[in-house]
Amino acid sequence: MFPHERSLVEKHKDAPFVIIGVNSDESAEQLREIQKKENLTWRSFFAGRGGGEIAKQFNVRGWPTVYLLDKDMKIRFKGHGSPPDELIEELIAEAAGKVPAKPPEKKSGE
Amino acid sequence: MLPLALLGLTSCLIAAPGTLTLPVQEPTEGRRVDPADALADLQQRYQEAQVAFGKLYQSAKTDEERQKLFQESYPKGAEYAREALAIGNDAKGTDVAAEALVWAMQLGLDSDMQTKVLKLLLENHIDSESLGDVCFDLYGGPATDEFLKELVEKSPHDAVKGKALFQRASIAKDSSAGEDDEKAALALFEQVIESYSGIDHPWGGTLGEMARSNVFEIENLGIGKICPEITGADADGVEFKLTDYKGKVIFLDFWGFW
Repeated sequence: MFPHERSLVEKHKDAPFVIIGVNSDESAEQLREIQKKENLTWRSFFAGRGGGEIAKQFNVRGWPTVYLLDKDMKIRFKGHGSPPDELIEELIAEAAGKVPAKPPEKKSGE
Repeated sequence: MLPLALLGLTSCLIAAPGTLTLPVQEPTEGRRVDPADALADLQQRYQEAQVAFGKLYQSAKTDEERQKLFQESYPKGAEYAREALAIGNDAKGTDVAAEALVWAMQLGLDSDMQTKVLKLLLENHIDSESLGDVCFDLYGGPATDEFLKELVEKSPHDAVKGKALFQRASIAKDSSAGEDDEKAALALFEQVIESYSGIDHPWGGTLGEMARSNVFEIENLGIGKICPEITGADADGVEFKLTDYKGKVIFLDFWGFW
């Protein structure tokens, strides 16, 4: 996931796009070390082992679990890998006001 | 490996206590092995094969070698399952047979074999409490839904009924392709909450807690729903919340490095 995420961040650095992590490692110190070592520039909630209360609320049972939210915080994708690039780009265009928002499709990816 | 394991078994047999309950030997089957011993031997051989493979795998130097090893030398679950199935057939109706079949289910069976094992379990072991352990290994396959339904209906154990119902709900949720499946999954999880809340889930917590989390997910975390707020602190202890980023596209990633 990291290389793909790094490339997404780089590709969309001037666009209304952000990666937010919910990290499930043991300690905040461990998280800081990984962020430094792997050059992860995006912000993560430190949620504690297993993703803590946040992962519990979101009923996360497998890692990674990814949600893609549009500009209105509406869930447009959920799955265990990265969402399709086209969808990310479509939502960015919506957020930038270039195209009107389409109603979300009723399906989830794996 | 095989002869060694058998030798080990023979010495076990000689030293084995509890000979009082040995069944009367049938003269035509002089070499008949006690099913419990046969199962113990089978499980031991499988475990030894796993360990041996682990050592081989560790000694491999390149990815290609590793890949080749996986294809050629990884212990074939189906072969061990066939033996387990034979024990299940021979000892029909006994606890050992149930144990053998339940064990076989963990070996990653193809759908033919899975159907056979599930059929035997239903026919001969519907009263066994160990059937609860099978439920969480079942995700698909032609016989799965029927098997789980039968358990919910006919098992005398609440723990088995609850686990079977929970798994039916989980499968309905994961295969959810439209609102009807979603409603079916919700209804099944509600039944779990109503009737089997206190039963332990093998991953921790109770079936009731897990079912409530699933209901929350179906109702609040589906495509098109507004994502619930998240508040917390980042790696440096700085507080922030998800809605700080409203207006942007948010790639929300639950991750860990472990």
